[in-house]
Amino acid sequence: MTTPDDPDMTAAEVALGLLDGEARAAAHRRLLADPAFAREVAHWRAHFATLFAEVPEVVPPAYLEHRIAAAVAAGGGDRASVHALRRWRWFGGGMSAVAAALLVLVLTRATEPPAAVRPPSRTVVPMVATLAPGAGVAPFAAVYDQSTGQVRTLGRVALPRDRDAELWAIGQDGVPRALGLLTRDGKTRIVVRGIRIEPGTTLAISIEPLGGSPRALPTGPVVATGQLDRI
Amino acid sequence: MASDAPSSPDEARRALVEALVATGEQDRAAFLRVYRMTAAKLFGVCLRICGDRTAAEDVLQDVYALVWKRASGFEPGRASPITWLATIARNRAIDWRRANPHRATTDVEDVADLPEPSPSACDTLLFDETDRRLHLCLDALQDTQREMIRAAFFGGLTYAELAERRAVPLGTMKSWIRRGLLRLRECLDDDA
Repeated sequence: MTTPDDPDMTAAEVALGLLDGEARAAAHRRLLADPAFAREVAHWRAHFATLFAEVPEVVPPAYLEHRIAAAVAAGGGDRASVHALRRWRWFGGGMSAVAAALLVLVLTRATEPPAAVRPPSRTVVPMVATLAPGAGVAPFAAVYDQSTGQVRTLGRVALPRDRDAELWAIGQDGVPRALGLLTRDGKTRIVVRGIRIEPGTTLAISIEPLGGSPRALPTGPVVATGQLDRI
Repeated sequence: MASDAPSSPDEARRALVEALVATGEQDRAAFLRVYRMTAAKLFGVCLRICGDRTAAEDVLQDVYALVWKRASGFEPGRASPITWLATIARNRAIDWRRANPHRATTDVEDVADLPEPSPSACDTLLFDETDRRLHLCLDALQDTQREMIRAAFFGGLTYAELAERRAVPLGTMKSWIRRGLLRLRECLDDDA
């Protein structure tokens, strides 16, 4: 039983992280040197940890599981790739009716009669993505045509006069690479050079200063993202 | 309770310990089992401390990257698995709060003072029922003492930071909290 004359609560203070400066340093030295003190700190930690039980559970969005699994698969969750991935929020969820309609539209355009007839055996299946938008942004559809190396998007971002919308591709390594700016008429065609686009590649749109991000990575908010897949 | 869910707290904890140990051996399937068993709880912890959903998502991703790297250091005999995980989540979320004071929109005392919900099924499975004494003992403290202790836990605040937030002298804050901790210890000892 504790007596009131002995108000040394250092163990509890260490467990809660209340100390700073020299008091903290001294307590941490004692932690290493005094096993009984270390046990006391551990007891307090265990007691305070029961506070976790009162925190309500909140189911995280499904895309986080994919992001986390991808980060681990991409190399043990090393800092660089995790950091790059962290910049990205996948606006997951089902395809809305508007997005589905846009997809049909863009596909119709994508399969307009080709200028030259290609041998049927070399038919390349285009990849499509629905870019699920954040709040206040209309849905986007995107198609990547491997035969022409062209990405087409259909959809418009409401932009201030002094901003551009930029399209990015994020591959397996989690690093965003700039594809180009969206045109203001809402029908963009971008020829991709030197960037690998494959099923699973994520397309994302960010809002940037005029002319696009001044850096290698997006600087503005990401307003829509979606994954490419074969159809 | 669903029939495919673990039927007892022991079983739930054992399943989590096994998955965590296998994660330490770089077993990705086991890692995903750990995620599925614990993500809602850890996301709740991140959300409560960060007070910002986007940040909580980023922190949660960091937390599981750390879990993947550090799982081999988890010692089943020494720590409860959910406590080990929740502590990583708390520490990362507190790091974020310290690095982003302008983005932490909710005040830490609001964060700490959310009404206590009734424990969910996962809690009763993963947390040790017998260790709920702390809640009873905290309830016996004066309001201010209880609030400060919770703010320290959920906000990672030091004496100096708590004193500044409450606009009281440092000595007064230390005295409040130390007396609270002393009463807490007496209560916990009585109950043991």
